[in-house]
Amino acid sequence: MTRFNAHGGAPPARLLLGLVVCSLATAGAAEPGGDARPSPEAVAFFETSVRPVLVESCQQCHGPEKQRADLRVDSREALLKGGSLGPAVVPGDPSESLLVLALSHAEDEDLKMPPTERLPDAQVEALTRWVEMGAPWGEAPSASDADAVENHWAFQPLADAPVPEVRDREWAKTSIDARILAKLEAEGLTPSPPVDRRSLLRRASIDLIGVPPTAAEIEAFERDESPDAFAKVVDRLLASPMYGERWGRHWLDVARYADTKGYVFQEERKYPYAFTYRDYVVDAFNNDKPFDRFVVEQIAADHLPDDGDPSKLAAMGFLTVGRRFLQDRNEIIDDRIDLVTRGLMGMTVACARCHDHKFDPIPTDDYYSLYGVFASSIEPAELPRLDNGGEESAEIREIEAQLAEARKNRDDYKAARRAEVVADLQARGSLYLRAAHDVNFDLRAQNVDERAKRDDLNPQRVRIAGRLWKTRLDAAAAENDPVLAPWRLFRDLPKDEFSGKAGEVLAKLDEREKAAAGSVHPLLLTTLRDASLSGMDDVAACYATLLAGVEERLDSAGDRRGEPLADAAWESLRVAIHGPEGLLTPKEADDRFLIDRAQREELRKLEQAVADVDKKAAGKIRRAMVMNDAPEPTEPRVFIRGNAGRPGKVVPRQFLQILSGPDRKPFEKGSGRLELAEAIVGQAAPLTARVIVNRVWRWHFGEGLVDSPSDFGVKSDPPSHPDLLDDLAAGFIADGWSIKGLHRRIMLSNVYQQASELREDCLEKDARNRWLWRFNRQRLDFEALRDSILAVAGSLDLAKGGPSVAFDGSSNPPRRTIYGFIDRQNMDGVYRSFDFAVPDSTNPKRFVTTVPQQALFLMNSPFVQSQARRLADDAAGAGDPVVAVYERVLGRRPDDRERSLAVAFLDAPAAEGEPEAPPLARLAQVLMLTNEFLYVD
Amino acid sequence: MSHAPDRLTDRVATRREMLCRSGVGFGSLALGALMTETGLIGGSARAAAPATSSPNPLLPRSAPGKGTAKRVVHLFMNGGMSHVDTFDPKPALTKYHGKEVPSNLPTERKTGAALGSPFKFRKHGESGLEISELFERTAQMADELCVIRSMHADVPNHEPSLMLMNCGESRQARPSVGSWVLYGLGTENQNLPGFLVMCPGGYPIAESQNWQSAFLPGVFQGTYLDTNNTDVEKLIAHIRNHGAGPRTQRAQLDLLAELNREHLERRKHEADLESRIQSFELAYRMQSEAAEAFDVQREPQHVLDLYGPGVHARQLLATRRLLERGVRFVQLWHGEGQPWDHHDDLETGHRTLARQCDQGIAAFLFDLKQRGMLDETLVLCTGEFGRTPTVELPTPGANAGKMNGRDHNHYGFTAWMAGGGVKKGHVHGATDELGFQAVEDKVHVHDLHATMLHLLGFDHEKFTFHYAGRDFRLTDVHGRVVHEIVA
Repeated sequence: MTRFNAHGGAPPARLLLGLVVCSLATAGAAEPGGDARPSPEAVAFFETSVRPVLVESCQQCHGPEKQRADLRVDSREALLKGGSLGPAVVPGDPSESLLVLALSHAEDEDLKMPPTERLPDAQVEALTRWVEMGAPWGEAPSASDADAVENHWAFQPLADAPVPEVRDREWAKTSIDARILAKLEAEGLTPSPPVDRRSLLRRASIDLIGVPPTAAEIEAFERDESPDAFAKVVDRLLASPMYGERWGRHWLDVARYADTKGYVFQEERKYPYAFTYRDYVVDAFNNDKPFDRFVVEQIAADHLPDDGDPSKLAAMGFLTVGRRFLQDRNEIIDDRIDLVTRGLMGMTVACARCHDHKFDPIPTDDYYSLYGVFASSIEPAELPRLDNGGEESAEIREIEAQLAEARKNRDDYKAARRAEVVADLQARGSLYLRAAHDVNFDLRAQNVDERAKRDDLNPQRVRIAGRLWKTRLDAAAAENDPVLAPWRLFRDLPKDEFSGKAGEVLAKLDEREKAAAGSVHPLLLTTLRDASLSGMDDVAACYATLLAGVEERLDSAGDRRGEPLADAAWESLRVAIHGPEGLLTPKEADDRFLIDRAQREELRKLEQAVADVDKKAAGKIRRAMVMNDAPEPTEPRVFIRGNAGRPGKVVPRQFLQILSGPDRKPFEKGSGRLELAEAIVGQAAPLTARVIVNRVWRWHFGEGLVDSPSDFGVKSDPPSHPDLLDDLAAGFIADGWSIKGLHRRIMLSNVYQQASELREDCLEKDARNRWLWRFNRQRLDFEALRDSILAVAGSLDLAKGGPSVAFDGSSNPPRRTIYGFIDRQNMDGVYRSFDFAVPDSTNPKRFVTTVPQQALFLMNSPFVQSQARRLADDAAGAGDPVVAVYERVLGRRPDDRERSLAVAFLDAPAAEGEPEAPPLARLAQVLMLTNEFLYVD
Repeated sequence: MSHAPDRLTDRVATRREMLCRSGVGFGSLALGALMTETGLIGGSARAAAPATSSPNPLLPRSAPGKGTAKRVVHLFMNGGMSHVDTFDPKPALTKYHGKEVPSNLPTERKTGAALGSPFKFRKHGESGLEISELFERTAQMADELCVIRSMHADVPNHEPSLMLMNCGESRQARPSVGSWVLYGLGTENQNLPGFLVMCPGGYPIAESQNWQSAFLPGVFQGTYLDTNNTDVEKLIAHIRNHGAGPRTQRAQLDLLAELNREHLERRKHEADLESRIQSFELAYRMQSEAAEAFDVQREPQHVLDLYGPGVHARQLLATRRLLERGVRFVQLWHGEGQPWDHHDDLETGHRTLARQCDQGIAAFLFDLKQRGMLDETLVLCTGEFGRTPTVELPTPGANAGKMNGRDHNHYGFTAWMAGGGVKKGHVHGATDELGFQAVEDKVHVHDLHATMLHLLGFDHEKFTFHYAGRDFRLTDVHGRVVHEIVA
């Protein structure tokens, strides 16, 4: 305390910090050496005040990349071990800790870190205090922690627990029942009696196809006394094409499906072909496509053997229908990593983007391994047709022709701009490189224009040259590049020691060249050797001289400049710089940097023209939103602290460490997408199966066995019934990953067929119904609600698939809700107020809320009112309109009291001067608003 | 009105009031489920919450700490209002006018020499706060203002800066400040949306992302209103019933209540069924109350005169009426797109826009104060950033070759606050001599957010939502409460 006050004049905030830190120090001191787990306060202090400083200010030279003086500061062990000067930290003793000494920048001390500038007082104090506390290191897992992570239930093989003994054997007709009942009995609870048949049918219908049964269906089921009556119902419902529309929609929540890209400023924001993915999902569910196959197709259908059926290509919309983040590539990839890991495996890998996962065994390296997979995949400009083969109508031929023309206009424009740039960089690359070096390769530097003017250069192209050179120089491959490697070696020299050490670099280059001829370009080596090098300016000048040499030779070649240069060395240099893969040759991905603001506007118009034709075409032509592998896969680098501007070490493209077992191998085929998909349903099958089985369970019961459907990590609540989860998952795999088989297993259990009645005694013991002493009463979600209204009104349009249709104030076509247009950016208020899945990212589950906006929609929207009127028009002709309305909406006849209430309602005199719908329509609307209609018992 | 249902409505009204006033009642058990899910309460309460609940998450609740502000109004000068022309006087800028500045920082576009402010600054009130002639009426409330002249953000571009200012994160989808506040406090009037966003003419840049709820439940998202409309129907979806008049509708709802009541009795009064029943009564009341709240013509003439003419006056006056009725968070945008973005013609442009809103803002502050509401209402005025003290140089395709505007500036800009427990007539922090960069007592946008939450009674480090494997905060891992501006 005194020590900190000694700085004098500390403002109140500083004092406060001192106090907090002081009390933490005491807490830490109770556990000297830090062998015991540090207190949460100590960890918080470390994470907020210490680790960021180490990462930001020290690790660049003392971290995974470089270890100046053999010191690393990225783990407690490394600090205790220290470097060439001895231990950096002596826990509890700042005066003996070199780290503290170096940070203090004491006048009489040679060791000053960071060398450039003393850290702010607050940071130095925090690190000093931290050493005093015994240097508690964040969540550094102790051995037992590591075991706990290794032994975490979700990462284990599927357990084959014996079916437990229960007292009420009669009730336990399936293994699901036995496992649920065993828990109930242990908790002193009993299951509920079977639900009545009418409610069971309604439950199953809405569950599987999203609309209620008709009165006739209910009657038939009530009359069917055969023992497999309900099994027949389940089969009938599963065979209905409406099943895929219901359950496909559940999957679209996970897939964060939308018909638009989100906010992309002026770019066209519709995905004209997103619907082909939606239709693929619906078909997959209807055909009971094995789930493992479903997963592989969604990630890598382009890698599967061509079996003549292109429809599976549409599956890849899974990856591509996400938000576009203003086309920020890193964010797009992050969204895909998140989707694949959280959506399919319940792993929150996106948490490891900036640092190792705080709780789960997911190192940052894993994140960038997957990053590499997606960075090595591209979306082709022209999406493949799904409907080829048939005779093309004249209209489609016309559209294709328009599309081809629009694309050509756009591509020609880009090619022309590109050609201008390429020609200039070839003719004057030496000047451009020199200028880019002079502005430090800083594209935003203020003096670019001025510098460009000096040599009469185009400022935009100074930036382009700078960008190209810098990107390639920073890439991992540059280390062994015969042209770039010398630049890198010189660049790493400290400025003040440059002259002294330049000789060492030259010697090293000589050695390299001797060891492997051609590893340093000969012309470059000679030029560097002959120059007197006192700084990077001289190095840049050498490169510029060589470039000028190439230019001179090209110039003098005159008409024959298209041919290779006569001198082999100069020719190889020309190829290295200006060849198709040359250092100053822009790649296609660089195209958008090649144009200036005015040209960008022109290009935007041309791109919009393409999008416009596409939009027009979408109804008539179907295309798959595929991904393909890039010609050359990317070698991913870890971005330090998630900052793309700070590339760190190279990692291989490979699967997650914790799920791979000991002999993890890098992916070998192209981007690795197919291998990733195969690993998800292969090595990770137990986890993947648990996750989907839990989702299916949740979509049936409203609650999952695991509470957090997309997070099965160490910090998630364990499953309520681990044995049941594993049993279901194992059975699911054994059954060929059949979702329909899983439905049958679940729905034919007694657990599913329980009544939903609230029982006071059970409520007291288990208010959340974790142990499933009843079936959860559930509110219809938005799709089931809207579809049910259409169904009972008799207006539901059963047309399948096709482009999405807008449901809004002005039009509300009676298509199923899954076919509604979903605007990711400005989602319609009705969707929002009914808790529709927000497609920002993959959805673990929907919220269930009750707000008055829902009631307003039901009471006042022209949609509900017109459906009620339509129903009333039908019912008016029936013998007893009240009965007819009841049967249509609620699938039953009214009781006496209900009938008399209805009759009184219909007979009440009309309110004068008010708009007046027919009384029967008003009655029908009331029934559509009842809880009986809006909930499933 | 018909016979039996009379009693029914009475009963319903009583229950509703109980619900609204106390924030507890039959909904509270159900509410517990959502709150545990979302981390508002934890531990033992978790076990008690029922499984399939459909609570109304908008019911009011109190903050864990002692907040001084109960509600928030955010005036958004979108496009980026120039601080050196409004609330941050820089005499040196006039002196250097036309000359190179010692250190020109890189912004979105290139800028050149210093550009002196064409507007006159003057001291106002007892505090002597200096404000330019652009806001001479707002300046009459100078002694209520707390001006932060040392704001800074991360980048000089609109979208990321809008996202940072509104959601605390410039790239990824995170909940807006209003959504967080609604999640934390609910709203006091169930008959009106709790978080309203008004922007005349259409969306600002980045559109509804500015008031998104992201991973928070969708009901916490801002409700957008185009205030160029005056018809309440255009403001709130389905607020009017075209199929039935009020009496007919009442008869429908009475029958509905009766049928639901019987259904409920057979189901042992389950809480979620109860709240669904209530929601129809709430909606019924909302129809009349919302229409009334937005109808500013009900105000006496002297109040209308105080606010003056135009859409800004109207949306500010409507805001006051909404706050009186218990709305929690209102965000008012200047207009569609990015009106304050004066890369050229700054003098005429800024003059026009300030004239549109100055009188209304002054009237709004005065009105809140005279009604005793200002102390509990936090008024915040910001853009997404400020503007450079240097003149923007002509760029092809951009500012039409003119040299009379300023570029974006995230290094230093001004935000002002009033009410809600902030210091009055106070200036915090400073930019450098020319106003390019915050240098003294710097306040990052994260710090502003931390301070807003503090004023509302939340510790920004503990106010979290668990999602995708971790606890998220409005301030992520940043933010420091600026205690220096708290009264």
